[in-house]
Amino acid sequence: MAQIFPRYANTLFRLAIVGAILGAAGIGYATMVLARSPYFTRAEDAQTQPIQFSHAHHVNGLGIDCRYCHTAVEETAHSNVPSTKTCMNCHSQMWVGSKMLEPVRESYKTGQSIEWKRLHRLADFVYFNHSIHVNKGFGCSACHGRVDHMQAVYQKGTLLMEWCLECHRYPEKYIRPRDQIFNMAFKAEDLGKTQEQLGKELVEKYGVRSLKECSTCHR
Amino acid sequence: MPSLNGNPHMANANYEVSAPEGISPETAVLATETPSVAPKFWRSLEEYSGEKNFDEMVQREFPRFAAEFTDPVSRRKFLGLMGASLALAGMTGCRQPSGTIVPNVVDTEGVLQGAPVNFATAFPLSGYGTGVLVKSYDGRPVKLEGNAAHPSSLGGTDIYAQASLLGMYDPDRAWTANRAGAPTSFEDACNSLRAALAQLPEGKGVRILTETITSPTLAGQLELFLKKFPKAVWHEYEPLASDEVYAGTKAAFGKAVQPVYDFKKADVVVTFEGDFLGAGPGQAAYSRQFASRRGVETPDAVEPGKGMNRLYAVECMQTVTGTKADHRHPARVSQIPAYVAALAAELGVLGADKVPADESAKKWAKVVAADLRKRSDLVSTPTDRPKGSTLVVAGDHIPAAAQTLVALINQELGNIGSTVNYVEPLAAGRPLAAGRSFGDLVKAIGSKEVEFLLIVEANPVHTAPADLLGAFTTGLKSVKTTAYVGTYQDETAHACEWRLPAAHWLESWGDIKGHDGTVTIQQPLIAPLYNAHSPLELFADLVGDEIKMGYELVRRKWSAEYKANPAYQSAAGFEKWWRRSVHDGVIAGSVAKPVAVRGVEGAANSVTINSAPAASKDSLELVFRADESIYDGRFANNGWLMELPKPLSKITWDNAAYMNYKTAEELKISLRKGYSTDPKYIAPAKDFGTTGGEHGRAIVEVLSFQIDQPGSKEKLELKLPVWILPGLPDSAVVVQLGYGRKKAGRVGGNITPKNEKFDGIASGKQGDVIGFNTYKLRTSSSPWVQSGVKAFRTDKEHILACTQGHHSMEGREPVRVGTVEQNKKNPEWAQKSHGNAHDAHDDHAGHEHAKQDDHGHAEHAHADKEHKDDHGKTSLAVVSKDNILPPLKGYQYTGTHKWGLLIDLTTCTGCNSCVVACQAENNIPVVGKFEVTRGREMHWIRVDRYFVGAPDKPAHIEAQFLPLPCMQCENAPCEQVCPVAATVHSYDGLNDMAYNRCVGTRYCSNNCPYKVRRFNFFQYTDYTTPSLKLLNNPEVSVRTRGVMEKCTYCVQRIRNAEIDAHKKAVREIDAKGGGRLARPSELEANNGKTPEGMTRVQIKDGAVKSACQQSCPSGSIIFGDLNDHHSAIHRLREDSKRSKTHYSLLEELNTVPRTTYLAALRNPNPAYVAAFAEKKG
Repeated sequence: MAQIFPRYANTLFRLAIVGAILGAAGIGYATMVLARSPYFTRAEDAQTQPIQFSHAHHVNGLGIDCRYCHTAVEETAHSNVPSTKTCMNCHSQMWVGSKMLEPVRESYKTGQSIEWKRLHRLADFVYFNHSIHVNKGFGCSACHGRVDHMQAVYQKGTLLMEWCLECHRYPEKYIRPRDQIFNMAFKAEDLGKTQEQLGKELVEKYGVRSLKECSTCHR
Repeated sequence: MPSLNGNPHMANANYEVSAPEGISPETAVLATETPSVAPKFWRSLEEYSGEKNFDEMVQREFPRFAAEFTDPVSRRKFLGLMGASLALAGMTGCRQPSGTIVPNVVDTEGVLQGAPVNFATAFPLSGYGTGVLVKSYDGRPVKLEGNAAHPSSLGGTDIYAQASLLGMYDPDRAWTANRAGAPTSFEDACNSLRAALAQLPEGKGVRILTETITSPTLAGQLELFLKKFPKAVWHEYEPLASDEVYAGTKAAFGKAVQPVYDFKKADVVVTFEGDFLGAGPGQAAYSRQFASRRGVETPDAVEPGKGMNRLYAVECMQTVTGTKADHRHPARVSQIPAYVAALAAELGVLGADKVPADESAKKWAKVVAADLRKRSDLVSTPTDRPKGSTLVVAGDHIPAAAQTLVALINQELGNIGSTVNYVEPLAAGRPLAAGRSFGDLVKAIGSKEVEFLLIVEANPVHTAPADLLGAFTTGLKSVKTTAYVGTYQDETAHACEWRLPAAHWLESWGDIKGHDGTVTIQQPLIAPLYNAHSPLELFADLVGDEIKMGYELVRRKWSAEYKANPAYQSAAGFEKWWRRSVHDGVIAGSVAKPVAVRGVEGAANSVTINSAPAASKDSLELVFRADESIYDGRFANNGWLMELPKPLSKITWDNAAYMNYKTAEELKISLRKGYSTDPKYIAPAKDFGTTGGEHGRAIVEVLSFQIDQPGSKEKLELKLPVWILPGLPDSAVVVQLGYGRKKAGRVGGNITPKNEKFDGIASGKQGDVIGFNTYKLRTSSSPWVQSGVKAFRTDKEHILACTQGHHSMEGREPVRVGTVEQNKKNPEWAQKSHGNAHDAHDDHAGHEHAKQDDHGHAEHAHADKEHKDDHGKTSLAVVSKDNILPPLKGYQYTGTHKWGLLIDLTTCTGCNSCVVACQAENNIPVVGKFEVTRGREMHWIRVDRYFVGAPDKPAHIEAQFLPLPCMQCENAPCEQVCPVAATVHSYDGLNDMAYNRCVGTRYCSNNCPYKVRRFNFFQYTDYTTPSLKLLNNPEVSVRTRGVMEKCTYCVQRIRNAEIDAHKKAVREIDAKGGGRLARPSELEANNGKTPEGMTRVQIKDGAVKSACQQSCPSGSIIFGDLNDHHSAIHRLREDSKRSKTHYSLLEELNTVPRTTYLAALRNPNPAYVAAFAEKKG
């Protein structure tokens, strides 16, 4: 009987097997990479907001404290987005004719809330509490990055569970004194210590536990 | 790790030994002979008799087919669904969804976003209020708790209060005002009604129908209305209210008054049909007072006012009060007056010649009267009981003559002013004056006197007695203007022209009196969800009041009251007083003042006590009662209550005719069907599962009950399924009111064109009519009891969803019951009584394992020995040595918190409040009748009810309740079998459940010896109805299909308390200017004291309360930190006189549960026991 397959078919077949295995692994790998990519996690994804509010200008330029607007951050789980009234505290006096601020004035006049685009969104089954983190020595910039340098705010971290766990495993790497929480530019070296030294000290002082129990965040 | 349930030893538990052979389904009733080895505690008759199929059923974690995907989804649809979900998973599963943030325009002062705030108000039921604190989360109420400052709550609530939250978010509520179905506005409707009123000079022909009203403001509005329309008549109809107590006290004291009890002072309580622990105004407060004399540390103390109280109950229905009674005596309702008379005669209140000839009553009265006079048990010589240390309670519906005697007995015993106070009637317009009853209204409608009828909240088209219903509904059509205001578009709304939605009590301002007259100003928690107004506002509109807002109306009323009452006034002024009153949820000093009463000369001997009519199987006595779940039917559309297993019968989604074993036998009722293997009774899976019984599907016979009506050839007739409650008296049938609603809503039942030819047997399917309308058997002349009722067998059957057999513990005697006497003799009785192998090991109390983890090996030996001890006996030989869980390793829980839960079985009344509270707190879904019949109900805490005694001897039946949340085992069997580590231990010893990790293998549930895990077989949670989304507690994940869930000890509350404590501690460090937080090990080394210069994290005992604990009216559930040596739970478990009765369930399995129990104590009277001893043979 005549040969149906040429000799190189064997090689092709072997290649195909290897290819299939590699391909399957590759798809798996690609999925993992994709899932961690900014596209899926929305990290670094600055969105167009109804008002081009610049944190860089207000925080870095004017030196307004985080808590002037995010008033509840030390007390409750949510760090609240300020009400229109908070904007109007200043903007009823300055830039009263600015076109950029029209939506703010409109909201204040009509009583309709400004609808901001949401940038940080944890899954519904995650219960994150801002107040305990800021009270126990974890600064805003530890998670949110240098917001004072952001013209338009974006999400800094991936907000994946592994990202949370990094700090929950090694809190000493990220901790800072309680009076430095809202200092965006904080570095341990400014206090004349390495983060390692400082971290060890503070973790002990504040009794910071490395909480990895499910019910810490999931209920 | 071998699964406990797969263990071959388990098959040889109790039942195989005792299963009688050869019972065919045709055999009438159950095996009448007592089985050779009857279990001491039993839950269902099958379990008692050792029914052979029961064995198979208990071995299945899930009933046959329950775990299978048998619902009619076609292959094509399935593939479609799968394809779609795959595509969705790929497209959107990974990318975080974006959303919007909508902040306030102006923040509310004092309100932090995301921080819940509690507001005080009161939950109204039948006119009476229970003070509650409502937790509001960003403006929406999510949970109710009892208000400890309110005398009707004392911190606990009943099931109705807990469930009324769901009532507010109910999507089936009336949405908009309409005129016979055509939408209109509230304003238009009011204008039309006012115009109609204006045409009736002085209100001639105007009638108002309401329920009981205690609200001072609403009563004032009504008064105003009646003043403006002097010829108008205000009628009142409350299907469960009765004026007998007013008539009775009027005869006794010459004045109509109502009693307010104080159980704290009562050493001996006698109740005649009075279900004070189960229902009625003040239930929560009475439960707490009663418990304060029940779960006492030294139950055998003999001084008055100390030690354990004693309760005698004479009742027909088996109620939770009767169940808690030390001596429950079953009697038909018509026999009860004879018992009252006999007791009165024994106490010298009534001449002996006036007592009906009832030997059993006389015998009973002799023993009880002696105990009321003298204490003879636990003391060496009988001592007189002091005046005012006893209490006699009469149920609302027992006849006036008996009420008179009860009042006089209380006077004779010196109880007035001590354990009972009489106050002026609290409800406005009670007792009903002549011409104000519902019957009078129907008569007036019949004689065409009525031109204008306004019905407020009452639902007479459903609840009217059978003899008035026809005349009422046909008469309504001839009334020119009919209007209805209520929260639902119910049966009555549909019979009226103008239908106005009423605001829910959580949406409106109001005021209401508690059971003792204390007034609460009700404040709204949320603006009305729909275009609804409160009845207050409606009346204001109708009388043309210049004030229209509810808030203003209530405030005006109380501003006047403030001015009129010097007791309220202070230098701070009205505004301060008002704010304080609204804030506290009670108006200080508004409690009703006791009225000085004295028995009228010769009052006792002027009463006539008739002897009870004879009853037999051909002439049954039918008793009507409120339903334990849905009350008079008003809560029919409340899924939480519908699915709540009734305390004694454990039936959900239905009502039945209850009768005792003997009566059922006489009527030749076959009870076998549901448990049969006969193919005829194995329904196809698409219908109602398979063989049920154990897993909730009980097929029972339907009887037709018939009542002759005097002066009419027509008989009242109703078909009802039969259910056996072993504690009922012979020849008595108890039915519960409220079911069979035809316009309740998607849960409570709707009549549709499809089921219009409703023949009285509900299918139990979603949206169909649920249960049986027993109002059809009720007559206005005798609303509580009907004699001479005939019952006929039909060829029909009905499926009841009954949870009594669910999650069986295989007869391991989980409840331990002892007596005070036994406890005095041997305080360690609870350790010994367990099974029969513990005698040698009574030093091995459960809590010791928790303390010393190196006990593991000893445990092993312990278990091993136990196994051998059991050889050949029907006992605990369910786990062999090899299957004992491994000893604990590595868990110390020192220096940190160690949360535990303790349940006091002595005080637990089985009222179910914890079940509903848990459901509200933890977003637990309702599954529906169909799913309950497959054993799939989702309650995280269940209350098991165990009967004790032979089922055919009602006088000797006792029952025990056993609430079962997750045991939070330290050595948890569930954790060891989870393939994905979705259930693991936390540092403080909680058995965490991570829903997002669960893949739904259900191994954990199979391996749980306590059967406390619940699986979402389907998407039970409603994700689509907008109002139900608001209902969910934002602190707890809403579970989806395919995940396991269970009690978490309300971990959200623990974690929040922890966060608060930690924040406080670090702030303290800053305030001190130095130091650091003490490490757990340092605290441990320093004997739990804070080392010098350090700060500690402190969660005060009581700062974390689980939802079940908070709602428990009798305070039977105690949650706390076992490591805190000052905590209540630690003291009760380790360091009190009751600690010796402390035990854990199935401790021999070495699971080391954190949930433990204090054994149940009873306080029987030895003289009573001797007098009523069960005759042998």
